[in-house]
Amino acid sequence: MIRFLRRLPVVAALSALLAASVCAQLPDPRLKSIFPAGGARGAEVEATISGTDLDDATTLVFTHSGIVAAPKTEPRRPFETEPQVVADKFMISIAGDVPPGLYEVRSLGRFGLSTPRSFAVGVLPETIEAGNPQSLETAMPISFGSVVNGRAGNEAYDYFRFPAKAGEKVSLRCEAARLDSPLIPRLELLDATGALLAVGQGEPQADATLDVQVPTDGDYVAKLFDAMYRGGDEFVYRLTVAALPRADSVFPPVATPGASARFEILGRELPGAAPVPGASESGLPLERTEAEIAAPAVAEVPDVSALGGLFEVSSADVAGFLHRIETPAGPSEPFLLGYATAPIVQEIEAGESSDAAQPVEAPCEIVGTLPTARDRDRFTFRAKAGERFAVEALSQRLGQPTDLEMVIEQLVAGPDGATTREIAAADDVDRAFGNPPFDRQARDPALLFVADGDGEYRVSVRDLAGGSNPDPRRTYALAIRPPAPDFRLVATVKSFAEAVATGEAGGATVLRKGGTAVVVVQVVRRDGFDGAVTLSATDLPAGVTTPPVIVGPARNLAMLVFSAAPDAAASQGPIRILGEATIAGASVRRSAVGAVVVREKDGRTTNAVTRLTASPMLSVIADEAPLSLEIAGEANVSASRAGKIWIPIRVIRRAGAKGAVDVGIDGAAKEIVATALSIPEGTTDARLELKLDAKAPLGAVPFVLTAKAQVAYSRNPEAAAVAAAKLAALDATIAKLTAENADPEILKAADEERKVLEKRSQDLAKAAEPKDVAVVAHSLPVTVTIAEAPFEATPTPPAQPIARGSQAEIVVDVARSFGFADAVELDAVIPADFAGIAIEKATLPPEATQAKLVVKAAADGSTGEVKLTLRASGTYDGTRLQIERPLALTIGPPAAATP
Amino acid sequence: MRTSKPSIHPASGRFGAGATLASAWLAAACLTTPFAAAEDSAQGADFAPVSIALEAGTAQGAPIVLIGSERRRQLIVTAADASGKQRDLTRAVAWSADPAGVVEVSPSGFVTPLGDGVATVVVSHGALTATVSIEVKSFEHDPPVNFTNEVVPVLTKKLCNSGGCHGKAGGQNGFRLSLLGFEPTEDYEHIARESRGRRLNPAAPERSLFLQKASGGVPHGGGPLIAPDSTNYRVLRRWIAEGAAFGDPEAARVASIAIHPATRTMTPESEQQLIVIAAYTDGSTVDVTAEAQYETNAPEMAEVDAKGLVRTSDRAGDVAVMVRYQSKVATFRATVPLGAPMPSLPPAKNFVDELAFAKLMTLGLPPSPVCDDATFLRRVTIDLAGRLPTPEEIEAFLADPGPTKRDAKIDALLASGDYADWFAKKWTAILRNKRETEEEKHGSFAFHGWIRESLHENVPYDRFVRGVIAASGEPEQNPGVIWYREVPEQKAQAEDAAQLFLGIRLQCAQCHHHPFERWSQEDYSRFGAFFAQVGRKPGALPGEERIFHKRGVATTVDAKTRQPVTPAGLGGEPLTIPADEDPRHRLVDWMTDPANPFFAKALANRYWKHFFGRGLIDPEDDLRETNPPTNPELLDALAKKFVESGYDLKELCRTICRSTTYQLSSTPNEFNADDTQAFSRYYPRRLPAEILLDAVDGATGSPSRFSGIPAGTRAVQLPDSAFNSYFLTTFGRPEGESACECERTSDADLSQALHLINSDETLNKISAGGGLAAKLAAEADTELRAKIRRIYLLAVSRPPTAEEEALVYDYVQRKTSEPNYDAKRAFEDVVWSLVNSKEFLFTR
Repeated sequence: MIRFLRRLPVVAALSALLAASVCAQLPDPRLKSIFPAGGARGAEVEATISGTDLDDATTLVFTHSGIVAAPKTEPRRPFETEPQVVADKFMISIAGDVPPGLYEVRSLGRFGLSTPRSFAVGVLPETIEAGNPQSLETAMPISFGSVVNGRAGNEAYDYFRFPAKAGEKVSLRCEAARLDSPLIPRLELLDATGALLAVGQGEPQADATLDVQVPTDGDYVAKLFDAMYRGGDEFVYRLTVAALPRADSVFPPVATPGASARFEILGRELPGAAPVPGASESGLPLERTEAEIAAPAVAEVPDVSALGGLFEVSSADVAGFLHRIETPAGPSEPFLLGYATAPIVQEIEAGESSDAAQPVEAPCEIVGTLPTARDRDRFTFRAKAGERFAVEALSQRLGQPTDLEMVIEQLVAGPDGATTREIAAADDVDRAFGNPPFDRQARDPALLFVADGDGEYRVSVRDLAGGSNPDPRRTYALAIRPPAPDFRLVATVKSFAEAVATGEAGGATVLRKGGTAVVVVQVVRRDGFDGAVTLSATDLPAGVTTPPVIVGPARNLAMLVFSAAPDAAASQGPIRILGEATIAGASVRRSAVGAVVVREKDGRTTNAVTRLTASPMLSVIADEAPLSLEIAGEANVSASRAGKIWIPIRVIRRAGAKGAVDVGIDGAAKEIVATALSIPEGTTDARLELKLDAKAPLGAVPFVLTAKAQVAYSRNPEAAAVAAAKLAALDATIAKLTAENADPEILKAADEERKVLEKRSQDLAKAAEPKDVAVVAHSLPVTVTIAEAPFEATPTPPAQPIARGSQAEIVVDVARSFGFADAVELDAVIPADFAGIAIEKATLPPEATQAKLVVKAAADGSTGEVKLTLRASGTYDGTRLQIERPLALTIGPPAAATP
Repeated sequence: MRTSKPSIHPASGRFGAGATLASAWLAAACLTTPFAAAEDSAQGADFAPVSIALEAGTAQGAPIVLIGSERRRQLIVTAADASGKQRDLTRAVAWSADPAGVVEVSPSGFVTPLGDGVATVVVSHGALTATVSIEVKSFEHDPPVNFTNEVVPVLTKKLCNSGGCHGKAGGQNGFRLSLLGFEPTEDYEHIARESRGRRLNPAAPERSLFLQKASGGVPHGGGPLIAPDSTNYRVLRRWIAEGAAFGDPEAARVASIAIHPATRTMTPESEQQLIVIAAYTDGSTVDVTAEAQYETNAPEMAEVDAKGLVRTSDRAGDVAVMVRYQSKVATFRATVPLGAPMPSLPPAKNFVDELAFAKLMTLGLPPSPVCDDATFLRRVTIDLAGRLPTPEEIEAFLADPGPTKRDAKIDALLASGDYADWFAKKWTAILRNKRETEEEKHGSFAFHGWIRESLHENVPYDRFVRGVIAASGEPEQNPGVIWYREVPEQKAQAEDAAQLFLGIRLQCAQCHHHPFERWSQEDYSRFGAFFAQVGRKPGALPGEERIFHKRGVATTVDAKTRQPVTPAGLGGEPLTIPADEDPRHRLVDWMTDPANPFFAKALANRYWKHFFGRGLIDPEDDLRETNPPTNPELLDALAKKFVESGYDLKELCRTICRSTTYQLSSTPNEFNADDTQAFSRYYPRRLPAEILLDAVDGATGSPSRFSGIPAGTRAVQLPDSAFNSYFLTTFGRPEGESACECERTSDADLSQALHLINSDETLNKISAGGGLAAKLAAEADTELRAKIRRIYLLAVSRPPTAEEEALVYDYVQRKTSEPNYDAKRAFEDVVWSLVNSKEFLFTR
């Protein structure tokens, strides 16, 4: 009860906050659902879309050219001059040769391309949930071997009745998460009287399946609902009732690029399959078959859209390819196979609690299974001192419900036989991009290690999330290989709205004329790659430019700014975001996959859901950006830690912009802080002051400046004008028909249409009235190159060895920058194990640039080379800064005594 | 609001028998019988002894030696008649000792030494005599008092170190003792050393504060406990006089205690003197009858006094007396047969009947006959499916002449989703599946769904338990992890697991040796160590966690020794578990081993209670030596069968429900009305809250609507307890706060009665426009008798008797014709009356 009281007000307050911040922003088209969320190939489907800011949607854009849509129209009525387009409804034609699987669809309308939703293409006949099948009595009849497209109702069940024959294998499968639906499906199979026969639970990121052999001839009923009894337009699903081929898992999970090999496939109704003893899913044994699969020679990143909502952002660095199995019933849906990065070795199952280790030779990629939580797989390999290894597991990122843990130990000979010494362990990989909600952890462990001695090493893997019941489908690949530094890019699309609100939303990338849009690019570094990556974009529409941005060595995130010329024409389409880096002397180029927010966090029962998408999309729309922010000077500046930068800026206010503009920064390190700046109405130019902390990152740090202002925004006045014109035209027609004593039925219909038009016209006119919205404009990127201090010290040691018993001078040249003129204190740190030298501190006076340090070498001290650390420190803008530079001295034997 | 009160009452005449049963049910806890008249009836009028034996609790013929002046010895006299029946005649015989001056024997057979020598103790009963020889040695030279072996037992016997006195955590009035003397070194510290030894005065022992407080010499909150002339006083005094030493720390300690006799068949209102012999680690034995503590598990059946004298009441049945000395416990079990003439027993269907009837034969307790079909159908549908049978089911069942229809019905109910719904309700509460925030909804619903699915698919119980105890991952994939959300603490996990799956209440052993059990703090710590490596990571959904095994060798710091200990099953060997192996799996391995003495038994007993309202061991989750089963053979057989079936829960239910024992009528015969533990009849119970609400919904034709879940969901099907319902709360729905089934209350109280009689909820259901009364009133084509039949079938699951039918028929006819009344209101009256009848409220 205490917990309840404590949490409730927080939730309420949060909801209120979200509501307030989300309601006033520039349009940002988001497709929230398409229903039905798929269709049979060769069929025409009438679909309805819903979402926000989908005004005047004229078409739907699919990722397969064989799927096209046209707005639905109603035939012209006597009082109309042309067929009427039905808002938000489309006729979708799916060509007969579109392979079954998932594709993406976006709507294109007044405000550009929307965010995507998944759209499925199947091979079975399809129907759409009809009637009100919310009770056993009103169950909707469907045929065996078909797909029904439905939407879960709030606090309701959906019932579908179908006939089946005794002994027939019936597979029920409810797709939801892969369709970007929030539904967490639960399935039950009932007999005709409603008696429960079987239950199938789904998973948040998986389908619910239920496979049974029905006992008798007769009608059976599929009962479907959400795990929390939620429902609504977005809760779309596709329920397949059939005995259709399905691949649940493929082993090995990885393939050698360019090679052909035999793979074991577990699933249902696969050609030539035999039941797997002991492996059952919902009562029926799984079936196993083998297939020859040829892996393409090269592939960077698979076509992720084909996996829909099942392909998480944490999988962005998986290289692999999609494969379909050909069956007499047509090709199966695609599944993902990874690319092996070393020769494949198969695990020899030793029993779940065996301590036995399987010897392997590195480099290799071990493929194995962890059927239960108790299973532990151990492998030993030999390594030489200094040999470097990347050890990486691939399982969850291929869609397995696993959570592997990995331990590396060295086998050490002891008096009682070999013992182990733990070297490293890895669990989840947190790449810490700092870009919620896209920085999801990968649950596959990976680590780098250097063998510190010749000998035998042991790698153990186990699954922390395994169930108690054996499931042979929990597979993994474990690579033990030399590190191959590389990187992948994920373009996470952010919107204006998100910048205004929580920083957690992701919409479409929409550019307004003269405006900018930001795409955050994450660099997924692999195998210890730590070089700089230069980001750029190509395939841009005319009038859109993007200055390249460098992601520094220690960083993994940057904002790429797309800027539309004031006269850019409206257009839309995919763009390519590229990253270039030099790895081991060679230039490496990678293109980014996109990531989208499928659903935002609702604060109570769901976190934000994100997934990868085929490619980032960009729209330029006809509207003008109401606000722009320009850098009125150099965009690449240098500064020292603890210093300040002043960036000259100019705001450009266009239609509706009013009041003061607040300027800040976005995407910089937290050690760079902007002094609050508000540019009053009527003023355009100003300087933004940035303060650097004494711990600010060194090197190039790119970021953008932001301008926030209120804008009196008039939404889609063109639509209001069109509606008003249509209303006026209809009025004229009605007047004419009345005058002509037309058929009263026609007049009545015209009057009714008039009411509808009038209402729409009023609504649009109201929407078009200027309203205050918060607008954020981003500048082009600014890069500040940060130095350690505003001074640099270069020591010059004496040219000759310093004889013991004598003294010498070290000359230190101090270069000053950023206007620094104060004193610099110098001293040196002598290693404790080198005896007999002393260096006195020295202070370089203000303005001076050279100082000398006196070294005294005692007569009885050590001789040889000694590595010292020269320290220079000074106070800059009230902050003490210190730099350290290496300094080597040579101490020689005492000078020969003069006779 | 209703403007008129219903004017007829339930058909109470028919329910006369049930009313008696209900009274018995209510009275079970408060019926006690004084023993005043029992004093001299030990031998019973019809008992003609043909032999008597004089027993000392040790092997016959073993020398009896008393060393020192303070040792005592309890002797008992056991007589046997020609049939071999035994009776305790200890207080009925004449005692003497010869020569005088060696020992003194009290009329109760209690021997006190008087001086060195050998004496013969003689008892006589009519013509029968028996003798025993006793030697007294070192009368003038008592061996030094050992603090642990001699002082502490006195403190325990006198309750000085009980939880209500100095034994509680903070002590009492500045003086603290370890609970029940489990920590003698601490006690010695407190008595002899604390406050600079001010409690003892070796120079003048009788002036020691310690002795004066105990004997009333100075004011003592606990009153005078030890008489200055008593043996206990002399022991304490001598200990102080000897210098109040701790004594040899290596001295022999109590290894076990034995009771003589261990079991006995007694008659009502008879006596049995017990002897308690402590065996020491050096092999010696000492009579500790006077120092041991006694407690009976059924005060209504028997009382026991501080000297170990057991007196039965006038009731037949089984009773156990727990005896505790130092940290050891043992149990005396008495069976008190009623001895009624046994008619031919109903047919035994399976081993349950064979063993249950064998017990009834022993007790001489004739069972009630097998119940009629309608009663059986209602009972078994409630117990297996958590609902009342539908009118259609009743008509079909009653019309079915088949001899195996009861078995078939049991199978059909077990196969139905209703079985899964009802047993999921049972398990979901004790697995503590509850929700306090919206965030917890997904996990709670998933856990409930998993439990229901497991039960429906009849997942073997060992696998089901593994799915909870060893659950890893996210709630969606492995919903058992929700148990770790609701039981977040390691200690609570160990305690819940022990109570829930082993029937062992381990809680006491957290702070001290379990007072009624063999479990020590080390046992507690080792058991808890299985849960030492439970790790948590954020899950995919808000507020959800991934449970995983945190790599590392599982250990827990023992609360007593402060040393790390490795896991061990209760009574099992300590295990060293590798760092990358989840110890929870090893715990389940140990639990589900067919040889585990607790696991199968605990479940069999829990399910027995489900069907009979009382466990073979009760409470059902308190299995211990000192709380023995009323029919151990039956419990053993059920557990064995359960293990052999591969932990098949449905098979266990089937076995129980098919037995004649389960199908006995609840109507008592002239002998078994008082029986509450031998299962000679079915014990009526009030319907559980959820079934009752569903029954009210069914009888009134007005289903309840719970928000957040589809319409039509019955109370039994609700996934957790977070659905607001005054009705369910009032009738004792468990909230999932503990692992105890006792959270579900089946008590009857005034608020329940008032709620059914005149709450808006009940009255609105009865008078609802779409309700049963309205529907019946609107059905023009149905004959009134058929409507009455329907009401009875819906409410009490049987057709009305001719008398009831006539009564209701006349009433409805009459009221319908009255002005300001109509058929709907007349039917409402009938429904109201039945809903408020005991027959409706109870399963019988």
